[in-house]
Amino acid sequence: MWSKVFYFTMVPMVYAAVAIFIGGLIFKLAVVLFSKRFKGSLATYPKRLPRPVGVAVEALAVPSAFKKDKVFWLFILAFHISFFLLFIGHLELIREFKWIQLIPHEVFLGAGAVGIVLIISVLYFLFRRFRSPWREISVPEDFFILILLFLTMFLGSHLHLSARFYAGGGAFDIPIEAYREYLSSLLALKPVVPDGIAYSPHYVLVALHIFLANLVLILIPFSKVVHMVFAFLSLDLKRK
Amino acid sequence: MEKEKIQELKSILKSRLNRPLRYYTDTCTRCGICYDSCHAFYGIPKKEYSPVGRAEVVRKLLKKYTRPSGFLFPYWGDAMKLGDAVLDQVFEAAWSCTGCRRCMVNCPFGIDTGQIMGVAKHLLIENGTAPEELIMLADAAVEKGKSIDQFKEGYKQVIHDLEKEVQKKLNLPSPDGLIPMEKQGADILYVGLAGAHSIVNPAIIFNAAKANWTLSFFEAVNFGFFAGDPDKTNFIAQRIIKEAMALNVKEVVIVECGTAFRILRALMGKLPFRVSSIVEVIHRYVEEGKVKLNKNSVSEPVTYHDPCQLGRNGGVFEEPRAVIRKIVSDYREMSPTREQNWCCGGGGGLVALDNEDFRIKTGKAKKDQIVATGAKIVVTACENCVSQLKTIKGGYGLDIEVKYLSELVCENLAIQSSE
Ligand code: SF4
Ligand code: SF4
Repeated sequence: MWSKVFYFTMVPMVYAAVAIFIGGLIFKLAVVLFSKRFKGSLATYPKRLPRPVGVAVEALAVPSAFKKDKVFWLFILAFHISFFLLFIGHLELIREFKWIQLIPHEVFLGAGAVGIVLIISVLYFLFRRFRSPWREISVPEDFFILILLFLTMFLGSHLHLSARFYAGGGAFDIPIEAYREYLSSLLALKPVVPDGIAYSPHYVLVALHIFLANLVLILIPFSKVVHMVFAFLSLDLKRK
Repeated sequence: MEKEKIQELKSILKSRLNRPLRYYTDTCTRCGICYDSCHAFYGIPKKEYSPVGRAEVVRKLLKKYTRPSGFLFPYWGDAMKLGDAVLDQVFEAAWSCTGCRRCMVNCPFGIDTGQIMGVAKHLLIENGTAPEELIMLADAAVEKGKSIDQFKEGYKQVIHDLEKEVQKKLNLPSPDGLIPMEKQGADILYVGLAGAHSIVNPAIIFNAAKANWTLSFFEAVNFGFFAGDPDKTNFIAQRIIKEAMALNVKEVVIVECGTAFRILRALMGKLPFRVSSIVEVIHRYVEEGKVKLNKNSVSEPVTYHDPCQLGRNGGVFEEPRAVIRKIVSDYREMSPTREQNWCCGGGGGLVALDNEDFRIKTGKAKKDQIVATGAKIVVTACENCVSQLKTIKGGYGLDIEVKYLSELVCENLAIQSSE
């Protein structure tokens, strides 16, 4: 029974999650593009930088957070940069990319530091919401997403670190080739869960990590995480 | 609450969901960076007066009625159902916000809480709980637009009396034609307000500059916008647009009223004439040498309050400063300034309501700023701001004088004697 549940999580659910993620984002963008435009301008002044540069700077360097709370800003940047590195790291779990190996490294980039930075940042965001005034403005969605991210990242980081540092005498050492076989088979639409994963005593952790990551993907278009796309659009309005 | 009423309010929520509102509903992460960027919160530090606190009231309604998640899992985003208690929260949120958009420049996503409060005001109109004063003023403006011909003769009489004041100030031989009306093909259509000062001072400046101008029959102020009624906002603004087009003017110049300026300059789409603030025009005349000022004639310390709709939301920052610096020898900048300047607390129609205690409390940020400059004269360029600054002056017993920029200019005009 469990092997079926694991297989479901590792294969059909991944396809469903990716489809919902991509379809959801397209749907959200389509809804926005087909909704009424604002006939005037919502600009604020002064406009110090040319429009695209200004939008990029505001979205990527978050100067408004820097002005308000330097510690929060540091965690915002640490989180988002690490998230990007994490994405690159997962690309390397599909196959080797020469351009990523320009700086030669063992997968993942950062030797485990990226995961730890993410976990600490997420915990900071979470604990920040336990305090006033952020507690009063938070809604269940805010806590749920952070807890989900924490669990996903915690498991992912655990799998990576224990394999890297040979914890449990190598029992965690699911070889990178196994992950590559699994993810590239998914991509080629000929899914297999290779023995290296399926017969590992830690299959359950891998399956759980993927289950939670699936939930994250599904939630992105339908939660406030959609700011990863909408931030650029709403900041653009401010400069139109 | 009756079912039909809820249906009507729901349809307003849906109708308001344009592109920006969709971004603003979905993107806010409740990060709280904007939390204390509102002058109302500065004066009365409670969640309901923080930008995110007030925006969430509307966002939770939008989630309930325009998002499947609000229907299926309302607890996910705390989606709220319409009801009397919720509409009381909507009222508190909307009618404590001046739409100054200081929060917007401090939000990492540029979320415009003022726009969100526009939805709140619209809901209150439909619910019949919008402030009556503003509705009545908006209706009167609409009525005037519909039957302007009845008003014309009486208005011309009033204006003729004002021409005498212009004549006196400029030492001219005759008052006739100093405030032209219905002048076809004039370069400028100037739109004032009901108060005489809003016509006399600009008329003095136009005449000093020998401008080819004409006065509008309408007031620039848009009570439809303050009340939150999109149809009346449009009608009231269209009165001026139609008048300008009928007279075939090149430029419409708006009195010292930030909101009226922003509506015509930014919110009505592309127009076949240029829209300027009288502040920009004064600056232009001074720069071109058409209007001469007595240099350094004011020695008392002077500061300038940026009206939010003129500065942060209109981009007119440097022009008033350049003019003031020509007249005063001790100019002091407020801190924070320009786009970060604190709102005085009188905008968005609030100054027209019976809420003086609230406005004194929420004017605390402005009071602190003024006191810190040590200025004796506070110059600004907006009718609402002047009224509110005077309320702050009275409420905190400040030893200051509040002046319009046009007033300061007229007092310090270098007048050539007429031949
Ligand atoms: S700063 Fe912007 S995103 Fe953050 S809580 Fe305020 S409105 Fe929402
Ligand atoms: S627009 Fe101004 S008054 Fe309204 S919430 Fe933002 S800062 Fe406060």
